Amino acid sequence: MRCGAGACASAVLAAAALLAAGLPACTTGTGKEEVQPRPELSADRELQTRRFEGISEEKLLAASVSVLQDLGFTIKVSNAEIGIATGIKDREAKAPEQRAAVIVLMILLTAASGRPPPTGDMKEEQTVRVLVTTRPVSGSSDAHEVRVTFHRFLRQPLVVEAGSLRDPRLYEGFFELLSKAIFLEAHRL
Amino acid sequence: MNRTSAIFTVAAIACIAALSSCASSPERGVLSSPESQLKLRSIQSRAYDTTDRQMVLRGVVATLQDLEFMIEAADAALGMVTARKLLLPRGTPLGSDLMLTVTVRPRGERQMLVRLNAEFNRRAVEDPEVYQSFFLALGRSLFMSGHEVD
Repeated sequence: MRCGAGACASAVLAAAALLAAGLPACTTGTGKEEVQPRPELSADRELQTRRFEGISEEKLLAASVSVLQDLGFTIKVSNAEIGIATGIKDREAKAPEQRAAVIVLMILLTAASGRPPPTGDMKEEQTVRVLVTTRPVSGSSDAHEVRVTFHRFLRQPLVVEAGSLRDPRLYEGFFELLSKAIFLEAHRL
Repeated sequence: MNRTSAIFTVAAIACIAALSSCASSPERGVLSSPESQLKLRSIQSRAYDTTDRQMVLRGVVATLQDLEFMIEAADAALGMVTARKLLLPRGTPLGSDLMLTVTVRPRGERQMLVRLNAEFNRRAVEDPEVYQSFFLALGRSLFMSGHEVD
């Protein structure tokens, strides 16, 4: 049996896809690493938390939900009794270095099969999930804390990645918007 | 058989071997005896000396957020939270998907019982260390230790 360059490349890509699809289901382990807090937990918590005074917990959660709506999130779970709200947003990923990788892959696949791959296979998508929690500050009657955490699931032809987002600008930006929302609500602007 | 077809044959056998090694029997995951069910339930449960269910639920949520889980469902009236942590590090096809369901309900007149069910990569977790680690983190969040229950 002879194998042309195109057929070989296709077979290798198919084998890689088969392994990538099958192996996650048979990874060893029981998840004990996933229930260990990160060593940087204190720093993470500081970045993800802000304290607000002179506002009820319910209004603070409502203002947080309003910011998530402004950012294009769809609210999936909310419970004012225990102070939580979650949102989800599906968007196209637009990182330039990833676009370059997609172009290279398209060239390789075209060379391997002799025709361009369907554009549906080349989608670059990401799902961002956000969790907002509120809670009273102990020892204070009108102070509350808001904590926000972002996670991303990136799906691209060459990159599949999932995990927490840690860029401080993301968290600072959220709290800036939340502060404005609370100010506007307080002054009814 | 030339060199190319030999390479493909070896690769195909390796793929089949790798994937078939992951296969489990249909019986796997079904607990064999009531004793083992009781033992697992004991591993999954802790009792806390408080009657404040909402405080415990908030502690559960704070712990899940500390551990970087996303909340998938929550019902304060039922005292239930379901959360998920999906990790796929860049550059590797090997990921992890941990689902947790936590329930909080009164136990007697002075305690709250927290029960945790964990599923890792779509398989029930029976490793006690997973549950111990979670309850350790929950204890830090609640500023109290849980008691083992029978």
